[in-house]
Amino acid sequence: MTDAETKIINGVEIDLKKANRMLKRLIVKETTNIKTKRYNDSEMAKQIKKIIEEEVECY
Amino acid sequence: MLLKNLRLTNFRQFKGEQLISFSTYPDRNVTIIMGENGSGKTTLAQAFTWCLYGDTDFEDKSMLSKAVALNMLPDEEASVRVELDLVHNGIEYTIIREQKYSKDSSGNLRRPSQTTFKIAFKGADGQREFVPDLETEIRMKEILPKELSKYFFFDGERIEKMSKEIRRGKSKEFAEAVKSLLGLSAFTAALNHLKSRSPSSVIRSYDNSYDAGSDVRIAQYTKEIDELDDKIDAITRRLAEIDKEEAIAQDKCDELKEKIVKFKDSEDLAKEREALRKKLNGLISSKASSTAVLLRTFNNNAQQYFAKKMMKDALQLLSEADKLDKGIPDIHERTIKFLIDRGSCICNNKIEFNNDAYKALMKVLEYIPPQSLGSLIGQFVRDCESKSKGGSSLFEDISEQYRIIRNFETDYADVENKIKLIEERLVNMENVGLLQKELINYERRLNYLKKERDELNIEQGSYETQKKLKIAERKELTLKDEANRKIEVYKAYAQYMYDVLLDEYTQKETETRNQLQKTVNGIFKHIYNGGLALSLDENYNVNIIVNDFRGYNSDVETSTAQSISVIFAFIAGVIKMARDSQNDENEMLVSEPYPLVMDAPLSAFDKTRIQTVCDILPKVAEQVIIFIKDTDGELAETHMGQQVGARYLFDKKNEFETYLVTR
Repeated sequence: MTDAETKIINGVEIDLKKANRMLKRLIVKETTNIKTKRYNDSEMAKQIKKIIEEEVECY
Repeated sequence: MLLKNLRLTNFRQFKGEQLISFSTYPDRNVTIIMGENGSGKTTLAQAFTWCLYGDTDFEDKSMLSKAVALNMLPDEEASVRVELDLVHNGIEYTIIREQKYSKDSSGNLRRPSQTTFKIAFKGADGQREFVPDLETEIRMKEILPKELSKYFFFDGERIEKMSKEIRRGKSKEFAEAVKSLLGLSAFTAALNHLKSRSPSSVIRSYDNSYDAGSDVRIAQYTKEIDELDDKIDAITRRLAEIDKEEAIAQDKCDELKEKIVKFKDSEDLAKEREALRKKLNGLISSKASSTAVLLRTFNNNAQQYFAKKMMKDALQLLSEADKLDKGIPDIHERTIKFLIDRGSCICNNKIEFNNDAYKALMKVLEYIPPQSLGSLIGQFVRDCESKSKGGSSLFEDISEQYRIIRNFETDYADVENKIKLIEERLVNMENVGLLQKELINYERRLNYLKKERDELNIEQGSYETQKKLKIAERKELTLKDEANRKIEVYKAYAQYMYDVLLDEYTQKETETRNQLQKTVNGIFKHIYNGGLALSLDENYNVNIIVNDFRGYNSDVETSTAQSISVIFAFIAGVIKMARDSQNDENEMLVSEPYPLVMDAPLSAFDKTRIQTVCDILPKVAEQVIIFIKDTDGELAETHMGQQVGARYLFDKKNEFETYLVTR
C-alpha cells in the first residue's frame, strides 16, 4: 500500500487514508466471514458497500 | 477440520447403528482400525465419501445392509444413514446423509429414494441449527472440496492412478481447491465480492444503480456495457474450454508420438512378414513342381527300373540257351501250309493228314515265322537293352527330387515359424499408419484451437476497448449529476481495493506455492531418498526433476516407490501448509488443519518407507485415521505406538455382518 495521500482511479481522486482504512475493515470482515459463514455472497457485497459509503461520507 | 464421530446405520455390512469415535488428542492423534481382508475396511472408508458427497466406488450401488434387506417384510421400509461429526473453523458440524429403501408387496426391493443431505451445526447460542438445503452443497465445498477429498480420504489401492493425476491434467478446480486449503480463500472471496459477473457484486451493483433520470444515455450505456461483458464472459469461458481441449489434445499427441516411436519396429516387421509370406508361396509352388517332376520321373522310368533285374535274368537265360531256336531259317508258315496243301514235301515224301511227314511239318510250324522265336528273342534283347538304359538313373533322379522336397519341408517350417514369431510380436503392437493418421488429426485439432484462441483474443480485445470507451462516455454523463457522481466515487474506492487485493493475492499465491513446493520437497526427500526433486507449476501439477544432472529439468518417468512417495509428499505438504497458515490472525490467509483418512495406505510400501511414513504422518496431519489389515496394522502400531489414541477392530461375523469393537 502506498504512502501518497491521494490517487486517481478511473478519473476520480480517492483519499488513500480512507481507502486503506476501508480495506482493513474489508479484510477483517472477509476473514471473519470465512470462519463464521454469517453472510452469503450478496450480503457480503452489501456489507462492503456499507463500509465504502460510511468511509467516503466520513470527514 | 477434526473428525469426531462416525455413526453408521445399516450401511452395507455394518448392520444396525454402529459408532466409531476418532482420537482428537493433539499428542495422540492416530486412530487405527484393524481388520482382515474383506471385513469392511474399504466400506468404512467409502462411508465417508458417501456421507460427504453421495459417492462410492462400489459396483453394487445399494447401500442397505444385506442382512437387513433379507429380513425386511413386503412393504416394509428401512433407512441407511451415515452421520459424521466434525469441527471446522471452530464450528461443530454434523454431516448427515440418508437413503430410504422399501420392499414391494412381492417382497422385492424397490429402487431406493434419492439421498437426503443435511448439514447441522451448533449455532452461537449453542442450539443445533441446519444449513438451508440450497446451501448445503456450497457449505460442503467450503468444508472440504470434493476435488481434494480423495487426497484426504485416501485409498492405498488407487495410489498409482492418483500419482498420474497429481502429475498432470488436473482441473482448474483442483488448483482453486488447493489455494483455498492453503488459506487463500479470503482473498478470492473478497475479490469476488468486489468485482464479479454477479449482479450483487459491489462494482456491478453500483453500475446498475446510476440514476438514469439525469440522462437516458446512462441507462443505454449501462445496457451496452452489460452486453459487452456478456460477450467477454462467453469468450473467457470458451478460452478456458480451449485450454482444457488443448491440454487433452496435447496429451494425446504426446502419447501417440511415444507409441509411434515404440511401434516403429512394427512397420519393419510387417515388411519382413510380407517378404516371408512371398517366400512361403514360392516354396509351396516349388514343392508342387518338384513333386510333379518326381512323379513324372517315377511314372516314366519306374517300370524299367523295377523290371531291370528280371530283364537281366532273362537275358542271362537266353544267352545260355541258343538251342531254344528250333526254327528253319527262311521257312515261313505259308511255305509249310503250301507243302501240306500240295500233299508232297520238298523231299518228295507224301504228306497226308496225320502221317509222320504231316506231324513233322506241323511241329516245324511252331518254330517258324510269323512268330519266329529267334526274331522274338532278338527283339526282346533289343527292348531290354533300350529299356534298361531308361531306368538306370531313376534312383538318382528320384533321390534328387525327394531331397529337394525334403529341403522344402525344412525351409517351409522355418519360414512359417519366423512368420509366427513376427505375428506374436505384432499382436501387442499398434499399426503405426493408423497412429500417424490419428496424430495428424490431433495436430490439426491443436492448430484449429490455436487459431480459434487467436481470433477470440482479438475479438475480446476489441470488446474490451469498446467497453472502456462506453464506460468513459457513461462516466462523463454521470459526473454531471450529484447522485451519480457519488456512485462513481464509491466505485473508484471499490476498484482501488480490488486492485490492491489482486496484487497482494497474486504475490501471496506465488509465495504460498513456492512455500508448498519447499515443504513438499522436504517431505519427499525424507520419504524417497534419491536424486529427485519435485516442482509445482501454476496449476499445482507436480513434476519430478532429476537434480543430480544439472540442466536436466524435464519431468521423468517414475517407479512405483517414487509415485507413492510423490503422493504422500504432496498430501502431507498441503496438510502441513494448511496447518501452519492458520496462525496469523490478522492476515488474509485463513486456513484450517485437515485430517488424513487412509484406507490401506501402507500396502504399497516397503518396510523402511512404512517406518518413515508412520513417523511423518502424525507430525504433519492434525489427525490420522487408518484402516489397515492386521499385519500392516501391527507394523504401524509399532512405529506410531505413542501417537495412537484409539484402536478399533472389525469383528466380521459373516459376509453380511461386521461390527466395530474397541481394542
